[in-house]
Amino acid sequence: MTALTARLEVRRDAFALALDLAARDGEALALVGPNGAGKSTAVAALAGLMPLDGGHVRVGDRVLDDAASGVHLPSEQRRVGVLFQDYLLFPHLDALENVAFGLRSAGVGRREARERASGWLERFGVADLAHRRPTELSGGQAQRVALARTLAAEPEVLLLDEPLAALDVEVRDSVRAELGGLLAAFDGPTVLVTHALDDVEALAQRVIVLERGAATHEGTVAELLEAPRTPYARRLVASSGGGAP
Amino acid sequence: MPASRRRSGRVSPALWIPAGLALGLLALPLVALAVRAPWSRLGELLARQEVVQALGLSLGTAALATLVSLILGIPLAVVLARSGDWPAVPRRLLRAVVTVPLVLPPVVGGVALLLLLGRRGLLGEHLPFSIPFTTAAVVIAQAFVAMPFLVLAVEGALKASDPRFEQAAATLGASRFTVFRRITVPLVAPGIAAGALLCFTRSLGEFGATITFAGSFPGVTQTLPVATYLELQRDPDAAIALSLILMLVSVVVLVSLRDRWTPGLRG
Repeated sequence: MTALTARLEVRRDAFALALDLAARDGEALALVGPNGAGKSTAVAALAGLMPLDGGHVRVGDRVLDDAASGVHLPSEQRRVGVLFQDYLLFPHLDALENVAFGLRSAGVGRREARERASGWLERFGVADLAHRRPTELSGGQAQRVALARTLAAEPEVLLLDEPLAALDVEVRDSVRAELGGLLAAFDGPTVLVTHALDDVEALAQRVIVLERGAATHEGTVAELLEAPRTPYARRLVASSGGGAP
Repeated sequence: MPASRRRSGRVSPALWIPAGLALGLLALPLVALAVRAPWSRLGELLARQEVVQALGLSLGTAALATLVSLILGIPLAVVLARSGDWPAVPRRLLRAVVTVPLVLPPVVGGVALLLLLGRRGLLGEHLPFSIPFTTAAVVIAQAFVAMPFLVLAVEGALKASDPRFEQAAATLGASRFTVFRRITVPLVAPGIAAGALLCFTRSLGEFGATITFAGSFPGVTQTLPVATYLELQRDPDAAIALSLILMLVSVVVLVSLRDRWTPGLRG
């Protein structure tokens, strides 16, 4: 069964994105590419933060976008969760209230929302940080709270937008390993956007190389490592194991 | 850094004289007010019934005008802050309408309010009740003059806050109104507080629009500034005492605003 299928067409001035992608339940698809390749545009389009000029987004048999018939579900109705690059934890709420936010928005009562949020923090090993404000969290802690917040809202699709880019290089490897474990808590399709091959290898099963708005390679991670097709992909593979390029 | 040293350092002597005169113009009237204040009679003057009445009316109406400005002005500030991609004509018109009361002589505002809400006004002639020369008229006059301060302060804060927090909230399933209530407003709370304080002070000091649109009935529409003006002819000492109260309130507001002056009012 294919859970997420999308054709994303977005045109902006001198830039055009035209990308087909699909991910099954429990599968993580990586979108890897250089800056300006259209990765952020793809995330915004999937999350409903940017309308499509053409194409569609479907999750199971739910239509989130269909440019031809003018369907465009707003972000709040899509059930597409995003782990943002800089996490975007709400600065005026503590960790617990951040995680409870999605539940409260869905109409869950204050007490139950806090209890369930508490459960998520515990599951992610950060229960002791419940009453800290985002500014009092380290990068790795903020990422756990942010992922808990995203998953607590019970999304059907999970988007990870450069999930390790905001972290210091020293902690990146350990947080990446932890993140792989935490993602086991999610059984829907995941789309990971990154420019680092380390992230792809650690977190994804399949990969699309995105260059100048179009896919230049699609397959399993092993296939990419074995036979990179473009100069960019060859440089990327050559940088493997050496940290972020 | 050399640049900052130059900036905080030497000023040409030719500038000192006009700068000193300017300072005198701003400060000496307040000094005179404090020096000539009838300090020995102050307690007795401030305890007078009409003073207490005017003070109570002023605080009450200014608080109401601030409340009205908060309820209506924050949504207006949001619309104004998000009007960036509107066509030029409605966008500029909207901004002009919000800004006009800041530069309009308050008396003109009062006349305009009479023409709209007066017994034979554009709207007023269709109303089953009469607004002018009531306490409600005081509140409306104050809100007309003071709401733009709040709107511009909040708009400035909104423009400076990161819209991606609102996007994040939407992806978590929050409706637009929930986003407004739980994310947008709390994030600009300091701007709202500064705007409300400015709005309150401006309402408290409102004179021209109030006396034109609401008159000066003791206990009903005679606010502190109106009472001050009238007392000046009858009992100057009482007028001075009233002025001291208004000055005191202004100083308190200035001190509490110190670092919260928001970009919206800097222009």
